[in-house]
Amino acid sequence: MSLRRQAYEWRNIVPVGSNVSNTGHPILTYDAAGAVQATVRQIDPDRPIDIMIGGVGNNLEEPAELRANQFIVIDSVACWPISSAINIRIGTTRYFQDPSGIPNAGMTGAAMPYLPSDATQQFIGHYDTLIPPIYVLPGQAWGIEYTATETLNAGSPVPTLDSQIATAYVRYLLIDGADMLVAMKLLDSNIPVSAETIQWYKRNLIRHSLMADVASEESLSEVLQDMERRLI
Amino acid sequence: MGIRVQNYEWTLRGNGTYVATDYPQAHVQNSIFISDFGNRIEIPPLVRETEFVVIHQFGCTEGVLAKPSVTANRLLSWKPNGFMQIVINTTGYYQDPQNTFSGGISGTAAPYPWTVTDVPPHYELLPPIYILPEQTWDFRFTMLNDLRDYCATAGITEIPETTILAQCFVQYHLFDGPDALICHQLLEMGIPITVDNVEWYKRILLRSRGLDTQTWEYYLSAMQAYRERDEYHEKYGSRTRKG
Repeated sequence: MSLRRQAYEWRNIVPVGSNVSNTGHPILTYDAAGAVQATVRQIDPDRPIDIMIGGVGNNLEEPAELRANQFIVIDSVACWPISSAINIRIGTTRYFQDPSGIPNAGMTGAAMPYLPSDATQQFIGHYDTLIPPIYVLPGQAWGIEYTATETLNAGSPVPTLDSQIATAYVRYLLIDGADMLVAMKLLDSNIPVSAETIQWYKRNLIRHSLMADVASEESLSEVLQDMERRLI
Repeated sequence: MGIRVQNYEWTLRGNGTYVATDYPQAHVQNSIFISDFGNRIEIPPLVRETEFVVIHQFGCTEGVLAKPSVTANRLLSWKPNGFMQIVINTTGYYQDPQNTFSGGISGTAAPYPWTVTDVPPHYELLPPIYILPEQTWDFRFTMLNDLRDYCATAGITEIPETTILAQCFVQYHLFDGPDALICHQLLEMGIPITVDNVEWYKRILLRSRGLDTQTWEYYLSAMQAYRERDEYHEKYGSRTRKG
């Protein structure tokens, strides 16, 4: 499974009394009245939170870092609510920046909304995919930063609607093994890296190998035709 | 029937009088094919020698909060907060960015059913997943809203059969017989396996009228033809080979 479409989702909902769930999405329990025994953590404005290791919501135990045999292509990000934004960090560099060149909060939820099922307004958003997509190369660390543009979930309340939960979503193509080598080859040739181009390149490799085989077969025949045959 | 589009829907309904063990535990992955919960099949999905499977779409009930609705200790509605993981033989398809097995894709990213008010799903299974002969495959559903705990806390005595607690859906193409062989040929040549490409390859085979197709030249011309066709679609914007 060398080409896999992956997705990572972050939510700021955690069991009552905690800020973070380090084992992924937490189990949600409910009281007799049907209220969830969890809170959506307050998010202060203009303070970026790493959705993987930021200490709020569901987190990972270690930062995202690609192994030597991995290559990823990030092609979609989204967040909720619309008064939030998302930025992509590779190493220490933020992807989205102001026209002045200074990194900003990133793409807003209004532009790329990750709609909850009970949203009252059906935002469609301006983007579905990032064009061009973002490449993260073997060995690079990466992360996604979520920034609220106003205070979200003030006082860390118990949510009653999905639309009260702050969320972030990132979709990417994970390329590993031999396909990672093909991806690096495409990158060297300045050809866009995608599932289609990797398959195209592999087809070409096979085709060229076949052509070489045919050519050597023909040249061998040419050489052999002038030689005297002998019995062994 | 060499190429068939197949659907499998798994539904977890109420089972009448409440018994905790009739329902899955929270944060435990259960097969949608052979677990003890919901509808099931007798034999785990196995791709036979003469078959080839391409999975291209799936989804599950969306929603995070359970929003239970109860009347007279009867649970009438429930959202599961579900995730779906694909397992091929013993390997999980989805992993998180720290490279460990994850719960998979949420119902928010890949909802099912998909209503008129929903925007298109964020998650698309592109490229699709190929399941080769002799491989087993499975979809595992994880519910993160603790139904058992809630029923015990709220004193639920009945979950009627009309209450749908969770649903999952899988759509795939099943190629069998000669079409499965063609899938292998396409796979060897690195050509995406779609209905369109299999049909195209069959047309080439028919044109060859029984000539020896196992020569290198034949492979080469087939790949050249595919390349030309691909370029034609690129040029005139009528690409149809996407799965």
